[in-house]
Amino acid sequence: MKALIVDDSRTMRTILGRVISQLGFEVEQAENGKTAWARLGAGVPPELVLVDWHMPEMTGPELVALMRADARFEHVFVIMVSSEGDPAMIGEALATGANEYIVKPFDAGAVAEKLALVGLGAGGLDSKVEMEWSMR
Amino acid sequence: MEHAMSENPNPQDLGEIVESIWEVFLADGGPIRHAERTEFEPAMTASISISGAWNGLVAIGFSAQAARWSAAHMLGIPLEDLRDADVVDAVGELVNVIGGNVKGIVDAPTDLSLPVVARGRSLSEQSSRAGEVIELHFSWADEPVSVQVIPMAGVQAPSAAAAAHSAR
Repeated sequence: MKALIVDDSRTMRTILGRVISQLGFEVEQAENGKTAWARLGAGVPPELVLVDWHMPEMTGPELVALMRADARFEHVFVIMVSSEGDPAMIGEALATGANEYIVKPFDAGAVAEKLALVGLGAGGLDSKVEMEWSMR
Repeated sequence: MEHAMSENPNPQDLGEIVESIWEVFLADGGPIRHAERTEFEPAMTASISISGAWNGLVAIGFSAQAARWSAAHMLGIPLEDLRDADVVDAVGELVNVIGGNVKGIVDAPTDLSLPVVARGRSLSEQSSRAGEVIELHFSWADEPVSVQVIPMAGVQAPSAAAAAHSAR
């Protein structure tokens, strides 16, 4: 399974990448929506896209809207990841076409559970990662 | 985290936000602890502005070592392999997450700016304040970290001088 992480922060891409790769995904990264859109159009669509809200060039909601208007990405599971838990923003993200919304700082176990519910991921974090996160 | 909506955040809420973010992203470096106020001159300050029904700045100041350790832990790379851009990106992301959580406890609706990272002192003395500044001091891995929430009169982005060092 492939996942694309879209965030302008290399730090956040790295943190998310660690979690998602432990769930069995082959992870690719893009630093904004524009780059992500080009990457999506160039190959086989990933099963999962995790996308930040605020990014230069193209925002998360703009990317999600483009994806949902294109039948090639109809079945891609999209999670919006943001530091803002404003209910209006969550509603907007879901209305735009995101499947889930995660607020930073996120719990890695919760990410695994959300993906497991839709049959994505390797069934959970491995014991080492799970233990590390449970200590936090 | 559940916090009551209020006109201004309070120190307890801010402390809980900082501690929870450290627990998730920086636990490998040990817990962050409240510390006595010190005459601390940050080597690096990251800030983000909130504008709308509530206006203000959220700023976090680091010693040089605390900034580098933050980046090393978050990126999972050795200190000697860190680039300056990595440190700027990591501390910018920390203030982005703190700012997003502060945004969740002030009056809505508001907008959150992109983070700005500057070398040197806090932005607080460059800002026109419109309320009591919350300033919390912490110790993390025996290094000082300070967090400020600065209510302001209206929409103001972080200063142009600081923007010259913006990470993004």
